Amino acid sequence: MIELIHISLFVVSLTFAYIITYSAIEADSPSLVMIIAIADAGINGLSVERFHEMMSNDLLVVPRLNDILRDKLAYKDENDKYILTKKGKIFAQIFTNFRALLRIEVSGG
Amino acid sequence: MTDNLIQLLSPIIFFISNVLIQLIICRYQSRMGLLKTELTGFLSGLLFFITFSYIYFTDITADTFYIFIVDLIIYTALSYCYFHFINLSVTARRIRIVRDLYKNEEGMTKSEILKVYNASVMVDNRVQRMINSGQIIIKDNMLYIGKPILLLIAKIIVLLKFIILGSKSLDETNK
Repeated sequence: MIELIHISLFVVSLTFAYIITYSAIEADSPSLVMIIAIADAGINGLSVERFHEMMSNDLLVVPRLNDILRDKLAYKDENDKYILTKKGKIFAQIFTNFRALLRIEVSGG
Repeated sequence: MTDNLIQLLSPIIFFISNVLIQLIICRYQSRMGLLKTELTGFLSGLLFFITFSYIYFTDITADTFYIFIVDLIIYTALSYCYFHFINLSVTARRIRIVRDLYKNEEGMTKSEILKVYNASVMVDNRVQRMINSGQIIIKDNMLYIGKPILLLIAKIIVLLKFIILGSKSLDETNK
């Protein structure tokens, strides 16, 4: 019995590690998008103005708004306002409380 | 039976010690950056785990050794998940947007959301972090790659994305 639990723990921990890695791969990290954009500019570098033009809301923010709706963390009401679902509120509470526990003050994102 | 139980519980107990050490350092001192607190917690838990295993399992057999390796993998996988959980709390866009919505019970329109959190905010947050860590250099209003660590990570992610999702570039899913 203990061996079965041990094997399960091994599989579950690796599965969680895979799930969290998958979500990091699926949702393009803005930092990595930025670094690739700068690297692609080569030895000539990338101007700050051009960089800001490339890093638009359509690239970095809007897809995440769509994900929030798709994942049913929020819905849009008749006034086109994004409102959290119960699932979204629980999700927000977990991270808000965890950030308070760690005393993280930066707004993040 | 007791040895089996201890081998089962030890990665969990030392993972908990990793989390507690990281939490305590993070809460009660402000000089160490978040990443360093995560590393300190991980290494402390790992050190305790290895020391405990060395002291407790005096009779090292092949079975004991292999189970130790399995437990090391479990400890590392759980610590890896915790590391990502902390980073998600700080940097994830979805979580930032959901937290902003949580503060505004009556809801927010897209333009209201973009007013408080937009690409400009995101870029400023990240660019400053990358300049501070030397990953990018700014000179004469031009951006260049500095230390290539983040670039290497980005290339690995692109490769993994291609293997797992079949996507060829980092922003293909946004097209």
